[in-house]
Amino acid sequence: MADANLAPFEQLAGMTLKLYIHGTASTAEPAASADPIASGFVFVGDTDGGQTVNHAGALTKFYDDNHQGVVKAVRPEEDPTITTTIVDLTLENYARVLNDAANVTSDAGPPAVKRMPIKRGRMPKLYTMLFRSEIASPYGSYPIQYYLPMAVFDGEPAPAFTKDGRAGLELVVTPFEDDTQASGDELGWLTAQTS
Amino acid sequence: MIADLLEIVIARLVCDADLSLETEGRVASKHKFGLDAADDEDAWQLPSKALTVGYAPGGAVDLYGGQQRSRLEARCYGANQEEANRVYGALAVICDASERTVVATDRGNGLLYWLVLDDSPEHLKDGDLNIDLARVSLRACCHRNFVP
Repeated sequence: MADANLAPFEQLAGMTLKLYIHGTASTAEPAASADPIASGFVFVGDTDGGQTVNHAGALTKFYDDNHQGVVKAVRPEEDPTITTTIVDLTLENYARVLNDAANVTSDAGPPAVKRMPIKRGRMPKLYTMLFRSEIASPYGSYPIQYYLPMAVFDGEPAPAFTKDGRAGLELVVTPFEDDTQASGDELGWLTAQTS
Repeated sequence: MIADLLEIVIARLVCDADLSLETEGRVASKHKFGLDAADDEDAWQLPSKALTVGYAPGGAVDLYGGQQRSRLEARCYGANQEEANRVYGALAVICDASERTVVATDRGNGLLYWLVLDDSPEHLKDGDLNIDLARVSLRACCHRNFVP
């Protein structure tokens, strides 16, 4: 017999997030019920294998002579990341993950071509990023979104071209502290629609 | 309407000149040996070199990207093992050279990503037809949507 405590919507299963970015950092969060495209965000492309949110930030623990256990702890660093793999490899998407889609140039030809530099450059471009699902709220079939007001494409993607596989760009999104946000919100937040 | 991987694979095989030379066009999803040639102009003479390809279990599905992936079973027929091997050889050459290609079918253009061998061949004897064959597994992948 099923356990009644296993509530249906609270189990975040069978869902993936779509990545939208805005070329200007600190762009305001779109409403959870609104289309991010209407706010100037760009869909970065389909992914393979889902997305993983890593709340990295290990505690440094302190002990003393009078106790066996931890008596204090601090978190000296926080480095949350979201990883996924883009498989929609237009040059624009490819260039965004490396640094900036503005680096893609076109030549009418013939033949017409697009060109993207391999060099990523010294400074990563800052984006506003949104990882959105339209149905993943734990409170019902509503949207949920991770909003990162200032983030970069980190990681070292290594697309592999093989005879029986699909090339993908594994990317690591790392949020930066955005001091224009309220205290505690500097790294972004998670919004879930409830009704 | 989504593309049919098996239809795309067979269309790819049918248009191969070397395989057609070996099989004289006898490539299909089911064999046509034993049919009455008077009733069916497509009947295959017994014995003769031929190739059938059908769906087989065990493929890894694509949950994310809209690809249709499947294992396939190929049966390479011949009057003896040597003839069956020749059909298998033509098939193996196609698989070795596989790369993304657009394949025209009756329902539209399919995008075949890959068609590769998945194991080594196995000789069998079809007792009902009294014909030799080499059975081999393939892996294939196409996109669910037709392309321009």
